[in-house]
Amino acid sequence: MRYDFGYSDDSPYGHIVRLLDDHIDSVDTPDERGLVIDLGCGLAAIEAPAVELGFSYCGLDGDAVTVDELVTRRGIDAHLIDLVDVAGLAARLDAVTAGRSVAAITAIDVLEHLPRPDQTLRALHAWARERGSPALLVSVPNVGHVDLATKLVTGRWDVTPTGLLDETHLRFFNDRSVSALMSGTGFAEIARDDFRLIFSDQAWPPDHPAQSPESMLGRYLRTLRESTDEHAETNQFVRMYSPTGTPIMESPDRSVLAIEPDLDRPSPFLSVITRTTGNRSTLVGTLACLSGQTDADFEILLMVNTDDSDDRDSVLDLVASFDESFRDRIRVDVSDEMHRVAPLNRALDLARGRYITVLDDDDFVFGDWVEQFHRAADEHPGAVVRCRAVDQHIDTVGGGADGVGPAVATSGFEAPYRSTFDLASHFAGGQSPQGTLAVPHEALDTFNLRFDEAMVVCEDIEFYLRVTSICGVVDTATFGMVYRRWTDRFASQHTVAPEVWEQAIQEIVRRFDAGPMLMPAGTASRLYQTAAQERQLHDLDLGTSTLLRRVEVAERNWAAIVHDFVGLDHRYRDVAADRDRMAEQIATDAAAAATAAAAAAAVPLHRRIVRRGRRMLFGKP
Amino acid sequence: MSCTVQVVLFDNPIAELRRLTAGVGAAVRSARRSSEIATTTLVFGDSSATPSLSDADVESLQTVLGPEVEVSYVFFDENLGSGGGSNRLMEQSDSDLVWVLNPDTVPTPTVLSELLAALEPDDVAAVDARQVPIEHPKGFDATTGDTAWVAGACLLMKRAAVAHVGGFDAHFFPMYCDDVDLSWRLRLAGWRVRHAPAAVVFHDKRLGADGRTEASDFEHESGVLSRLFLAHRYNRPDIAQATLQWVDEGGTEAHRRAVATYRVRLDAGDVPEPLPDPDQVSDLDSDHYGPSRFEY
Repeated sequence: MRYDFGYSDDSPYGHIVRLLDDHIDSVDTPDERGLVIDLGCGLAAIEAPAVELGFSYCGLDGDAVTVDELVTRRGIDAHLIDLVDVAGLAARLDAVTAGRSVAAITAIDVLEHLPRPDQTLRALHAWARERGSPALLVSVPNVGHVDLATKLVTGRWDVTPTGLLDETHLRFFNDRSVSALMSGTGFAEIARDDFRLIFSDQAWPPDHPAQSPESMLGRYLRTLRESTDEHAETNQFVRMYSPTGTPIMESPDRSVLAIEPDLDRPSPFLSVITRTTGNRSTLVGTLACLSGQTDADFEILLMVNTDDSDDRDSVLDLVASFDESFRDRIRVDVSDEMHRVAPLNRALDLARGRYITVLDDDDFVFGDWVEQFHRAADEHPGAVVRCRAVDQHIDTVGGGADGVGPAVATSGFEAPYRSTFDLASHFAGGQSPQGTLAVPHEALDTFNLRFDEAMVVCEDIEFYLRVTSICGVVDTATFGMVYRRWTDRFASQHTVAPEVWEQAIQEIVRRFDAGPMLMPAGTASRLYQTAAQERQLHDLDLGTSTLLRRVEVAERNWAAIVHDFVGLDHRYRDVAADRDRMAEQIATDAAAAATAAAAAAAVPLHRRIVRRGRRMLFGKP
Repeated sequence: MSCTVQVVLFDNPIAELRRLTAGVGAAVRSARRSSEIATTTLVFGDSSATPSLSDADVESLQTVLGPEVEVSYVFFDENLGSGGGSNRLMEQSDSDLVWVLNPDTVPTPTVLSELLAALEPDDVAAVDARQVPIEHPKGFDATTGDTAWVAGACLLMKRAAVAHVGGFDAHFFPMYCDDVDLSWRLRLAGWRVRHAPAAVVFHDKRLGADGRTEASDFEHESGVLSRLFLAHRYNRPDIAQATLQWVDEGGTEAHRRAVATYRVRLDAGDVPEPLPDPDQVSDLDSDHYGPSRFEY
């Protein structure tokens, strides 16, 4: 196929030319900067910019028409070549370069078209070593681009006339496989300038639910893909190599084009990470519990983090004193740069176990702790495994010459943690002490999961939420560990101000809120319960509001009644006062009237008396 | 100063004994660096019905241990119980010290040194270690380490003192409370017994689904039987009566078996002999035969 993609700085061609310019020294005479051999040159897109930079140019292609056109119409030094003819490659290159000084070889969109690119590269490597080891620059499409990954999730693999899935491609590469091919054929990487496209030629159809970043699934998958490596949006790997490596000899058992499936489970089963500052007497108890495990398929990464040489030596002495069958499973890493979290991340890098757990140097585990993790992980590979824990308070007692006595239990066991994992309640923190969780190593490596060293507290909660929100959790349902809480002077070291804790939790919530997240099976019930409770609360709120409104109305009515009553009362008092006054007046008036009446009545009486007296005295009126 | 490490077996798997043996070796090697421990022997006494260990097994344990400690194995051909087995093993050696270990323990490298240090005073007869991950709740004096009794799971004793009081009482068959009884008799004879909290031993005890210590029916049965034996020996008929009543009212089948056994053995006189004046040391009123630091 003949491709006619023009040159631009912002293209794989441009990136190749930039690498040439940046990494191949100029000489005093610009036009003697050296020869660039452009394998599979097509229409010689980089010829003009290369020449402009002082390189001379020689295009080689397998298509006679193209070569003829370059030579006859554009006057470019171009020749036919068969890159599959490995045996004849060196002679052909010798012939076309004619003793000129070769500065670089380019192979832009070439390797993926070859049936055996490894054989061509080996031949090229041998020739280059004979010709002053010029650099090789390649550009190869990336089938690990997020657009292809998201389409493949739905079963789509859309071969197209050109692009990432060009119909003439015979080989497909991602970052790992292109690196394996190049190093396996003797090419050591010097520089890279990968060409990125947020949306590749495979970004279609526009509304694809797994691909569109506007769809929740698309956004989730894109975020997930981006977290695995930096090549989610790499469209072309544009890299520069020196033929100074040693090619791996070709054999039927070992191919640089394929990897053998690794079906063996990593060994040991578990890496137990324990960080210690060495100043506690508790470590011996923790190690004792580990020495008593029924399943010995584990290693211990003892991260000794102290700047006190006595503390460090006491830990080393203790480890050395164990029987070799146990001691040989302990790897000690000493660091005097005090940091709460960094040693844990270093331990994650060092861990060899299939699963990883962190056990504090003051906690205890039961004898079947590893066995239970192991069984659950075998039954549910890839899931985070969680056992149950009990709490127990401890305090130091007595004290030796250094004043630090053994820490002994001061309480019985309490089981304050949820018996089964629940993602929602884990956002509030404090539901799974570290030793209750064993996480699959593969998940940490695949998604580059580490503890956030910038967090002041709760970095463990954030870490485990991230792992569990991808892997899910299977509960062993058995008690595996004793989480021991200090009640003495060490307690203050563990106490975090509530506002600091809350701030950290809110930060974690904010991070998860930034994108969609995967929820475990059973979440629908949890959501339903939450929604139903919200509904009940809402109904209660509504009822309460109605009642409050009624109370308000009643209060208003009551106020009016009281107001009216007070008015009536005043009126009544006024009326009563009027009545009393009137009654008084009436009484006064009545008395006056009676007096008057009496006075009036007295006149006739007086007359009658006078008349009677006269009759008595005079006999007749 | 010589020491015999004694372990009484009853159908224990070889894997369990390997981890125990590895722990014993490390503990002895450490102790030798800081004390005058000289010859040491690890002896397994087997109360199982058939031998738990073959010659090859013993050889493999010797390989685990190295040349510094000699391993030996005795098949009792009868179940002597825990105390009886320990007595039999003690009869077969003459070491200055006797270190009794349960087969499901794993000593830490420092445990023997710590036990030796706590045993040093002349008036101390026996010292027990702190068990992990389930610490025993019995109390001890924070300064002196004095305690009401020492637990037989990991117990270092002076042979002379133990012999003076006649060793364990094999009547506490099959197991449990023989250590309580021995401690109380040592204290009656004027000895002290101490707890060494810095001496740590792993004891493979686990929690059940309810978060409580797992105990088999056999352990429940032995527990009740031993309590009745203690009550009998230490003149506490009220405790015996209360225990019988408790079993009668709410006990399990295992508890009832214990009561039946007790009655048969009481009739046969196959019980610990009552002591004349035991009140000054015995404490049968508490659940743990002495003051407790906390309750599980």
